[in-house]
Amino acid sequence: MTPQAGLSFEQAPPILVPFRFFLSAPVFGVLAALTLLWQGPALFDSRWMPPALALTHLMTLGFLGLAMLGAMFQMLPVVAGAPISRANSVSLGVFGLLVPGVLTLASGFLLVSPELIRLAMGLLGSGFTLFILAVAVSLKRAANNPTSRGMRFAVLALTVTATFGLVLASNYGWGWWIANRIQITSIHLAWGLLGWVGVLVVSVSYQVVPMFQLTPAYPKPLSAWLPPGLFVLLLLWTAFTLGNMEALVPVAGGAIALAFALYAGVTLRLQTQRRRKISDVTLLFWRYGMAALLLVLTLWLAGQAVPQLDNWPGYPFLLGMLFIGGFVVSVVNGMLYKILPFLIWFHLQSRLTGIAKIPNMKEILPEKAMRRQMRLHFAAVPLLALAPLMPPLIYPAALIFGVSMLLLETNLIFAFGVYRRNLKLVS
Amino acid sequence: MAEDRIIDVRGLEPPQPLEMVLEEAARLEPEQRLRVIHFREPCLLYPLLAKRGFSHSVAAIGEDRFEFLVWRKGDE
Repeated sequence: MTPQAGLSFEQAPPILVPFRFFLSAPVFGVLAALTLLWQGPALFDSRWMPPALALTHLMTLGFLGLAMLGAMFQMLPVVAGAPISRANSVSLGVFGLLVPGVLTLASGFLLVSPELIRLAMGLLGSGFTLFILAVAVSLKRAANNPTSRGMRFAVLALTVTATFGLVLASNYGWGWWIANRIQITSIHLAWGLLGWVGVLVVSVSYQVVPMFQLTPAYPKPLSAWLPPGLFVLLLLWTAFTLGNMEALVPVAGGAIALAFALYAGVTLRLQTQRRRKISDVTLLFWRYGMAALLLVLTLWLAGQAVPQLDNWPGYPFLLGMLFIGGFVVSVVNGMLYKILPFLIWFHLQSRLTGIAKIPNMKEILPEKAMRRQMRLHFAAVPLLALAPLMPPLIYPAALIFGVSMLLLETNLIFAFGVYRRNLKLVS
Repeated sequence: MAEDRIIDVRGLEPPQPLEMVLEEAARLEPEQRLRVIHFREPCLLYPLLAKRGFSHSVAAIGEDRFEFLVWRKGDE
């Protein structure tokens, strides 16, 4: 018998590598809610207004970006067998550049300050460059499985998103205006939400859905072809958009929407075939997220057929609230509730065996606290989606969303507190 | 050599598969091996096993099935 090398403790990243990202992410959700409360219904005047851009980036770069970067630092060694070298220093560097970068960018938009936007460009540009280079080196020697292949496409999409984002930010930083700003914004947005966020959620779900929700594996053709398929479709869509091929743009867009609908349908179907029949918070978050994804895809398709809907200024807000708040925040929130307690259990297991009893998952993060936060999130999303139709709804929506994010933060801090208290037993 | 002890951890929610393997490994008799049936490779389990003085090797990989053997270091 030949022992297999496997993963050593040196390769498994220290707990703070992913946790500094996970514990900071909900703070940006709270800041997004405060921005909504501050701006009120005026926010819906136009998606191009700086406060709307501040809100979007607090959620996408702040909440989602941090949670997803943290997850990649954790998953690359475990799933792809390819740890990021010097994970602690790299993660500290990325974190130290991105957190002030997001704060500066949002402040730059809210205060209409070109100086802050220029500073944000430097911070975010160098933070993402560091992350992308470190991950690219790691992914080069990654195991060849659908998740690591999907992660490669997601990181390529992040590179496209960040590049176009920097071009757009330079408009605000130096006051020059590129002629096709609307096209470039659409490309930045599509690659960010569908390429980076969408493909990463899809790729990560191949691992975490069967593992934590005890479902059968995703069908092999779907897991193999969906990330590269989405990537190619996004390339085609971009070429059609830049080439002003107006008849072909919705065709590529429709194909992307159908691919995501297929993914949502398969995920919901797999969840009906779980080996464990009792529902839990993560499962409910994922079902809610998939339902929101199907709804937003339907509304997008409706917008293609009905020009009046597409021309309504509230329409991009409706789609954004449902895609970001309803779909992505829900699945990320649900996964945080599995990954955090699991990692805490793992790190305590490695340190405390033979010294003290290891707390179980429910002791690390009590079900009741998670359910309370989940109910608030489930109430906030429809209110946020309806607010572009009935603008005064923005106040209760923002308030409930903000409290939900605050409770998520306190729940995560509670779990980390369990880790720290138990660790003291070692010393 | 004692007969392999076999456990199937596929229906369990994390971290129960890891807990069960660690518990069962601790109960192994001298020269006995534990054969674990899992649905994926449990990368995070390996360092926990190594720290407790166990070795492991992959025994079989099938459709949605990953089997590995665990034994005390020195028993090989």
